[in-house]
Amino acid sequence: MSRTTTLLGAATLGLVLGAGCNDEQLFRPTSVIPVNALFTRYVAMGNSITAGFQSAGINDSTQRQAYPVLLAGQMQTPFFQPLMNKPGCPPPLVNVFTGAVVQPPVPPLNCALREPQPLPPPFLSDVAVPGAKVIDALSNFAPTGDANALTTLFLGGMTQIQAMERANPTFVTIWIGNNDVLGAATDTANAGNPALVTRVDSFTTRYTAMLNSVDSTPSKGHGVLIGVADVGLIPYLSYGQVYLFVKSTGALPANFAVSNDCAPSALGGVGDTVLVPFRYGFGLIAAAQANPSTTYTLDCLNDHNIEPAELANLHAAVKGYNAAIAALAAARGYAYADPNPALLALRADTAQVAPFPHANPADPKFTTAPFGTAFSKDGVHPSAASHKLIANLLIQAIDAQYGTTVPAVP
Amino acid sequence: MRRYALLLSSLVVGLPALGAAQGFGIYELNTCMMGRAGVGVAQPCPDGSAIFFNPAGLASLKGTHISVGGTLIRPMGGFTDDLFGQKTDMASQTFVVPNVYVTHNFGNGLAAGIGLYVPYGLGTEWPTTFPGRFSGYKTRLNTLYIQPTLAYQVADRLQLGIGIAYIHSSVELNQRLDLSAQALPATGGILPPGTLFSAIGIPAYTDFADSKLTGSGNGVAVHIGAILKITDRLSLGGRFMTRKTVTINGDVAFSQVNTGLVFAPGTTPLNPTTPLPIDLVLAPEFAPGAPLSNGTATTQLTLPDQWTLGLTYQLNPKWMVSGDFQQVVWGWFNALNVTFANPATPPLARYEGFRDTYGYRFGTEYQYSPKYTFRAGYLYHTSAAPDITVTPLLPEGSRNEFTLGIGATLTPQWHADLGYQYVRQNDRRGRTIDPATGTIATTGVNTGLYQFSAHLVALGLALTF
Repeated sequence: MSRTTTLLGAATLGLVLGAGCNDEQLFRPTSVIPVNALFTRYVAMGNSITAGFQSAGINDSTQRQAYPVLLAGQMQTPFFQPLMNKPGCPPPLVNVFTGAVVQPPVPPLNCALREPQPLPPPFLSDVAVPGAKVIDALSNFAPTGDANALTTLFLGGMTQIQAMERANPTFVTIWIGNNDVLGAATDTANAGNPALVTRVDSFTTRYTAMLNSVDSTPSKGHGVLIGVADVGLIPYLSYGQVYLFVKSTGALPANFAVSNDCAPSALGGVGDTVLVPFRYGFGLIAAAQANPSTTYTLDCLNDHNIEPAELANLHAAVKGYNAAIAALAAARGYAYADPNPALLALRADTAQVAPFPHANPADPKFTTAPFGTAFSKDGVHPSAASHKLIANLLIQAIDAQYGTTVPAVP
Repeated sequence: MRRYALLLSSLVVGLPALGAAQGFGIYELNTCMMGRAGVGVAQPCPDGSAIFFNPAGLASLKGTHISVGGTLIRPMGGFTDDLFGQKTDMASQTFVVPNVYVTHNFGNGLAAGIGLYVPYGLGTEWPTTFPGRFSGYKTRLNTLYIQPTLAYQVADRLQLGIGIAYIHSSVELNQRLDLSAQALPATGGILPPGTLFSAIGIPAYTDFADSKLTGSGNGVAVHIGAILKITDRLSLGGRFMTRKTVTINGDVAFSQVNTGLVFAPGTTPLNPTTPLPIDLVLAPEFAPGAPLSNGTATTQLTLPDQWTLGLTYQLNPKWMVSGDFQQVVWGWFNALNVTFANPATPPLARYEGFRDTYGYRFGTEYQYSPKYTFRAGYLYHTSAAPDITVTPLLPEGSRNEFTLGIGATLTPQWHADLGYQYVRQNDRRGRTIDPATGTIATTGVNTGLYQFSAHLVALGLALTF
């Protein structure tokens, strides 16, 4: 065979081989290539705030505004949520005063169930459940727990711990414990009921047990533990003196009276140490509007309100919880973030945190943001804007603890 | 009863896909031929393997030939997901594929023989933690051909051959069933009929049942071939094997896999006051007569038409080069129907959309000495599965394969061959989940990359007398 023939054969073979090797490639969007390997698999544990509950409801829109989604976006890590169909489960409010919701609820459960996903997520990243207390992260059957329909709808019979373990996370954020005091604060029969406040020692034991499980995953020592929010900072609860002041402006119905015990302590009342739940206060005002011939009186020393001793107890509990969380974080290498300074700063701006009742209720902003722009229409859960604030708070804590450079949420 | 229609849609449907995939095709049915990339339809190796590679080739053989061989196949592969770059390896396996050929030339231009070979086989096995376990985590296919063959020297330069192959196919498919994709039992109007478990929170990839399907069937195919010696140096050969649709009668056995999931009291309308263990709810579905009771299923496995055309050129008395082109006609295979003996189980239909495959084979053989012969080859072939049907059952793609071989004449009667082949499949994007019954998957559910390669070693021994 001639040299030319040999070369021709070799060239032909080379062409064939070249044409035959045509590997397809992995498709990994740059948006999910973590800015740091620490964030490879991120799981958020918590309660309604972490789940994306807003305006007394939850659906895929509110869920996508939740701070862990924003945080995951900045960390550039995949994040899978148990998304709920619209209108929601339950549907979020559009008007807290009329009770109108975003769309008519789905009968008979007032719940549109989980959203189908063409690509089933490999695991859940957001394992938080609205209403969950610390003990609910450990068990769905605890006698003092608050397992509810969303526990099943989000986790399908698992606990938060089990769902977290299934994800085998490398990084966690945990914001749980708010409901260990919030349930007492919003108790309709006896707001502030001490019996409904989780004891600090029980809280600490349960939180430690939860953290032991987290520490058995690759996320050991990698994450942020978030302190419990002070329930006194949410606009769902207004100091009694606010009612007295607004009454004095003439903005409230004439047949709605406010007892003198709602005056501030400097004037001999308890109005600066008593919190009136929106449900109770607004209920009285609405009743007064509906029945002009009957007088309705807000009495600050009433079981429907959080009375001074009860408020002190709630503050003490939150302080105890946060001391325990901070100590556990320090001992185990987690970052710790206390949300309360940021919430307190928001409260200083009445545009962001608007106490109820309003001196100028006709102002349209109180329909769109009845509790201010920092809170959703239920006065308890942060608005989308505050979720950004929380995400950035966490980013600061993460960068400080782990030396990372996670970009802030714009 | 429709409640488990979705579940059953994923059952058994992989069965014909096994046979319909080029990757389960085995062409390494003789050690000598493997050394030269299976090429040589115009001039098969002189050891009786022409029964498969071209029945007409038997007419060239003198006397009686008996050859026995085996090919060790060690596949390796895995799946790497897009999002996390996490790779799951297939289980390590080694397969032995035997072949036996016996031929005799009667001296009047007529030759006869019988061959036993396995042109479709192998299997895949994945860990039961692999997301694709719901398509199949352990799959086996064996298709044995026993082919009596006649060949005749029609003219000095023309040989013809024909064989009738008896086929026996057996299959085994093991898979898990995902609770999240199943419809809820009737809820008394609380939830709409057809609501899936996923809608009430059951996580994706929740195993609740294991199924094992075994089945077998028989059939007959016709195999014809011709060799035309165009010049003293150049030969043209061709062969054609007819397709056969084998009816597979199978047994399906189900066993419950405990989910361990329990709904807390009051968290669903179904259990206002007491815990609700999901496994107890599901248990009746495995009772006799229920949709997940053991039973039989019937489907059809089509072993397609295949034809090969090739040239062999003798460069000099010592050196031969060959090239073959092959087509396997999978293209008509678009849909699949499965029926179950259990009346509670609805029949199934699945879109497959396979396409014809084409193989390009190049091989050479050099007679180094009267005792030793060296061989080498290269082949490339395309895949049957379209982009929407690359699954854990057979994550196939186009392949490049490289071969080496050596033949040794031990005595005037005994001859031995040794061959090696490396298979390098192009990395192929694929899916790990199946679409709902009656729907067609899209490439949008391809969430990662399948990799596959294999080492093959063959040993053969031939006796001539």
